[in-house]
Amino acid sequence: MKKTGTGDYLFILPSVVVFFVVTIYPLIYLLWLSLHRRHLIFDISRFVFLDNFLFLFTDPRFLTALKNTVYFTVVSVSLEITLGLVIALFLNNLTTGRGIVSAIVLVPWAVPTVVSAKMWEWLYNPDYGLFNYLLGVKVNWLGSPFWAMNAAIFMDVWKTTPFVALLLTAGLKLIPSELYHAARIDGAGRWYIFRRIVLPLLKPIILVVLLFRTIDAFRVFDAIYVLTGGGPAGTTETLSIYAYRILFQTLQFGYGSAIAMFIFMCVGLISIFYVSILQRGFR
Amino acid sequence: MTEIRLRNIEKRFGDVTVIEGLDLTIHGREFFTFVGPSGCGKSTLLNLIAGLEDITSGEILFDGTDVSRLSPSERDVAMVFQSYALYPHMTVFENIAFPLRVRKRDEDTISSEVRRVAGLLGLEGLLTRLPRELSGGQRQRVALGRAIVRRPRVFLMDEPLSNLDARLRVDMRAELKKLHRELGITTVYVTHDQEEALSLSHRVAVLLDGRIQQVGPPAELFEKPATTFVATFIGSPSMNLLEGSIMERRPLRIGMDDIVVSPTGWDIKIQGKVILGIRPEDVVVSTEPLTDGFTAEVEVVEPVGSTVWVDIVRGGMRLRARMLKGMELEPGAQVFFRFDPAKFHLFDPSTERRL
Amino acid sequence: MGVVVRLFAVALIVLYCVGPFIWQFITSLKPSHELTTLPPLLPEDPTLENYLSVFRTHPFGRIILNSTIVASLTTVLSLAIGSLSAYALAKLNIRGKALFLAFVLSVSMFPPIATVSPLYLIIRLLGLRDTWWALVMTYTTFSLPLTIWILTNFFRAIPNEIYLAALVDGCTPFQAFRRVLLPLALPGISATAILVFIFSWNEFLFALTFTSTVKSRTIPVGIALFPGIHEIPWAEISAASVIVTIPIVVVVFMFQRRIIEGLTAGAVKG
Repeated sequence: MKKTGTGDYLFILPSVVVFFVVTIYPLIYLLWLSLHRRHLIFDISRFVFLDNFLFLFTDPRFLTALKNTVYFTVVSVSLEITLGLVIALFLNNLTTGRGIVSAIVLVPWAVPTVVSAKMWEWLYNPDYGLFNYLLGVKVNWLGSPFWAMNAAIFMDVWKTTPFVALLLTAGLKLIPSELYHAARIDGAGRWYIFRRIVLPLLKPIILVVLLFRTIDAFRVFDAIYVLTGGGPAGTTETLSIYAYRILFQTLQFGYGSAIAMFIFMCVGLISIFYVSILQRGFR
Repeated sequence: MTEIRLRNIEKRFGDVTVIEGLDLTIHGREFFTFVGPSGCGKSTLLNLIAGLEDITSGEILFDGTDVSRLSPSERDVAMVFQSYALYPHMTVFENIAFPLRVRKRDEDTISSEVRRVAGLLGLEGLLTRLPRELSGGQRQRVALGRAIVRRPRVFLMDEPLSNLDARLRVDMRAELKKLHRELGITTVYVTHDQEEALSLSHRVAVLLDGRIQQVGPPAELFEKPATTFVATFIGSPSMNLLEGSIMERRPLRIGMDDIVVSPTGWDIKIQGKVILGIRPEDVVVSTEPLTDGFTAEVEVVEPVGSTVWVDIVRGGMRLRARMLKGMELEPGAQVFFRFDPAKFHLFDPSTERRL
Repeated sequence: MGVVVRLFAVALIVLYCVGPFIWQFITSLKPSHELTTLPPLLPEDPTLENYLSVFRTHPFGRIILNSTIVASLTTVLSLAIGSLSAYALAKLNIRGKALFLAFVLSVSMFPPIATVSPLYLIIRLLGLRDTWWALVMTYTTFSLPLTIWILTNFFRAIPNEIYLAALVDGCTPFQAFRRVLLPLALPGISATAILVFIFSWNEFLFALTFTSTVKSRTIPVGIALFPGIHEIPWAEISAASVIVTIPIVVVVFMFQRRIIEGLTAGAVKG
């Protein structure tokens, strides 16, 4: 195309500046902080190199948070993909009222996570909650170490499955209907068509959705912070919540930044993992 | 009245050379056409003249001034695109007015100029319509209107007729010609359709692989093709190319398979092999024996209305020829054929250039 | 599938999605003494008292104003900055496009927790703590990847010849952007605007960290930190939730197709 005019670069300059100031510079700052012992109240700042990172793996609270985060991520993402696929297949077959159903399905995704967390906290209420009333039980969902994390997962599944379902529906729409017809004429059954035609063609989109969801789940904060605050007894404390507590409640900016840096690196590895699968698939 | 000079133009995309060492002058007021198969570099050349792409080396001069480094708007050119590239969100009026608005002309001028152009192109009744509400031919006119409204120095047209149906295309050709005569603006036209090129232009350049094969008025390209490529590309159906060997130079006698022909009007220097070109309309086919004629077998008969083309085979030789009116032939029939000895074109087989 | 099965499935999906909201709405109509009795499910003595008290005894009006301003400013800024970049990436000849897009994509994966502490220190240094601008600046940056990604796809879908025609007609690259390509990308712009607005309306972590008073506090923080005297004021929280949910439901129903278009342009084509 035309013109190697340097003026063309002015168009991306604002983005570059904003990205530099609000993402790159803070990230470098984060790395710097994570190599220091820094406390905001006592105004301490001392270079400790990798001490913070070494300490991570001897910190039982960090290890629990890591375990919680992985559990939350694996369980919620697998449930969301499965359930999302079922809803997507159903929506794709829906001939009338698809618009309205899609809009309804979008609502949980669109409301603030904080609102849905509060909503579910009330539903889970041990004394006056709707769940216990409808199930006729008296379970302290958010107060029991066993139930609390699963209750949080259940809420997250409710909130994000719609997003998954709608993206997968869009993916299903890209599969030409001739393909289904051809397969039917070739004598393939429903399940066979799903496994041999729909799933392979949907694979790239499933991977993209998995990428988004895994990263989102791994960095989960608001949902659990509002629902349980990390309790009871730290059984729902995730890495983001732990990092936040260390940073802004105990004001240990050095160690807190090391945890944040760890989360950043995990998310980076997760993305690289999925992107490499995606690229291999396209080759 | 602008004269365009291309001086040693070269264009590379990475390692690929699209245009190579091209020199050419397009005269003021001329209707000049680049014709060639797809990928020959003709559209790139047009974009270079427009300033939509940068030349790798060389110079482009408008009336002697170097415009190579100027942007399209500074060159004051107008362009009609193959897809018309009308702005879908603007009415016909706004589309035509756009080049004037960008140049900040006052509202009265804009209004009167747009109406003048609309009158010229028969668009008066469509000014409030959107492009999607127009037929292909109407869109084409709007694209033309947008180009002529500001009286540019140069008109550039990139296959402007190729999205129209065959009938409309022929009508629009006549209109383009008329428009050019009325406006007198230097026009550079690009097409892959040789018939379009011949019927529209003062001069035509045939391009192949980024090089000019031949430049000249349509009649010259047709009557004296400079290379075998031009010979087969210009004219429809294509010229027959046959291999022969020179038996005698004065008088010229050339042998092909088991027959001998004597083209007239040639004085050649080379010996050995030669390529003979003859247009189908210069080969006569008959069911009756012909003087200086040969026999052949009919392979395919192809009636196209006014004429009937016939493919004939003799040994290893295969020819297309024009059949006389009123003949009825079936594939497999025996016929007689004869060449018009004054209508041969001779080419050097090593350079593929005209002798 | 039989019609009955299909209807049942629709009802199930709808109930699953809206059920919690209905319960929230019912709760918001209950006077406080009815909260602690189940059954009955429905309020026997429905009241709008909770809605009034959200505004009367709490500064919820101001909080809604904060959220509206922050989300609007973010949307405008993000679209202004993002559409310029998207246009350049789609139509102009600049080097390193692939690299820039890859970087943009990686920014969208940044965990907020990773930048919240340095940003907090920067904002404190700039004296922007507890202002709208602290949030607008952060939200604009983190919504830019989505904006650039979606709009680049939209600009790419506009035929190149239209862009070239604008240049030949005398436009500078910026005029071609403003007068021709931007109007044509309007569907993409509105889809992006909705998504960016929803993102800024809902964000919690940065808002929780950068705001400290009602001066700049946004809705999610307001609801998360809803003050109660002795116990959690569930009825008022429900009323507040309903108030902030209604505009979102309206937007979702009005622009359902646009939103899905935007989301899929971001994910499927990418």
